[in-house]
Amino acid sequence: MTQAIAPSAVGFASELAELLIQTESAQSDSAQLQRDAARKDFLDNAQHQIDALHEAAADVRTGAFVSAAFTVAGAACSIGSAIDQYNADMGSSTLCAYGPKTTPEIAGDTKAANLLGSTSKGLDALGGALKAFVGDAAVTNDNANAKYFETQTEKAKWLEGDASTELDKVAKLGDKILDVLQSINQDQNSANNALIGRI
Amino acid sequence: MLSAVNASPSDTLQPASSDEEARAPLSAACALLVLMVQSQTITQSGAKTDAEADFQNMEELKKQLSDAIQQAKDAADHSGFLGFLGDIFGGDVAQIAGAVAAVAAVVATGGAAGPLLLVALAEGLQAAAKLGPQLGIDPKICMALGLASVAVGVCTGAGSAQAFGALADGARGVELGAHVAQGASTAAGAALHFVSGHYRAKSLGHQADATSYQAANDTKSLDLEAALDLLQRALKTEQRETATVSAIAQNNSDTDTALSNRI
Repeated sequence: MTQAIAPSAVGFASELAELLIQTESAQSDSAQLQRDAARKDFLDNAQHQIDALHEAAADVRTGAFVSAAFTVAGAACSIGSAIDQYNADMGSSTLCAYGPKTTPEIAGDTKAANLLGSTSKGLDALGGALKAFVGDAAVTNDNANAKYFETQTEKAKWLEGDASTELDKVAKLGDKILDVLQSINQDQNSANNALIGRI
Repeated sequence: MLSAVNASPSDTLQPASSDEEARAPLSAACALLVLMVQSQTITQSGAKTDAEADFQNMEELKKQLSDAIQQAKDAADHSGFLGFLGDIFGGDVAQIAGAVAAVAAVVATGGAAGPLLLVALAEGLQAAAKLGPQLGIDPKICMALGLASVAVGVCTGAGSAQAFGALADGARGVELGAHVAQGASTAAGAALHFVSGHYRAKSLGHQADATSYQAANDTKSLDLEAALDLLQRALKTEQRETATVSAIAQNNSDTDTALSNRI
């Protein structure tokens, strides 16, 4: 007798449970996909942030190199200017007081000294400007990019947390499904017992 | 009936034989739950493996993070020290050399004009000595001015000019040396600043690496947390499913017993 009644009852319960479990699986899959997507975003943004920080470090090195190169070149020109000026002064000191005031050699030395002196000042100024342009500005830009990606990373972390919370909710739904399944089975058995009692 | 939990799905889902016809409805009800329990068992195993792997990775990442921070600190120390030296060479030493060069230049140019200055001074004193009595100045003072004029005039001789010329030459040499020292000091300061910048870049690179390890650690932490959550859920769900299967089986058994008693 139970075979005639129970299969339909248990079958209904199983079908209902299957449907509920499918719903739970779909929700769980959806939350899992959201979590995976958030995790991927987290990793991508973190990688971008790290790349930006590495670029900032490279720009610091480039700025230091450019500044040092121009400063060393300016210092070399300054030394050359001083040597030429020294030669010009020494040449002038040997001239007769009543003779010509300069010679082509002295004039050449003086010209070279002035040229190298001006070049030295120009290189110094250019080095400072290029350091600001190539180094400092680029570093600031890279740091701003790193900050942006850091913010995106935090956002992705929050989304991942939300997805995990959703997974927890789905798991609680699974508990409820089991309760429903058990309740349906009990109800069906009670109904069967009542029906048997009537027979 | 709990033995059915440990049975394979193929065994449970096979068509009921004649001996199992009485239990067919029960098996059909529990088959799904058996599958679920087996799924939870597999999930538990996977979650445990993931948790162990994540924990090991986190330990390694923490060590790498610590190393990166220490390397960044060392590089920052080197950068600071070399930057300090660069400031000294490129700033203080160069300024001192520049000041020496400026003084030497003054001495060199003043030395060249020294004889002329002395001649002018002697002429001025002589004129003052001559015009003093007419201007009502004390004759003793005028006499002293005259003597000073003679003394200064003696100093404007050829020997003095030669002495000033030698002093000027020496000052020019000092000026040249000071300029060379200034340029070399500036270049050394620039080189030190470059090395300091290189170490600063290394420090920033290590900081970026530390950020990378921190991000990886965060990821592993989230993965570990997810794995533990999954394991916890799987254990809880398995327990609930087992309890549900037992309850259903018990309920069905009670029903069968009641039916048998009734018959």
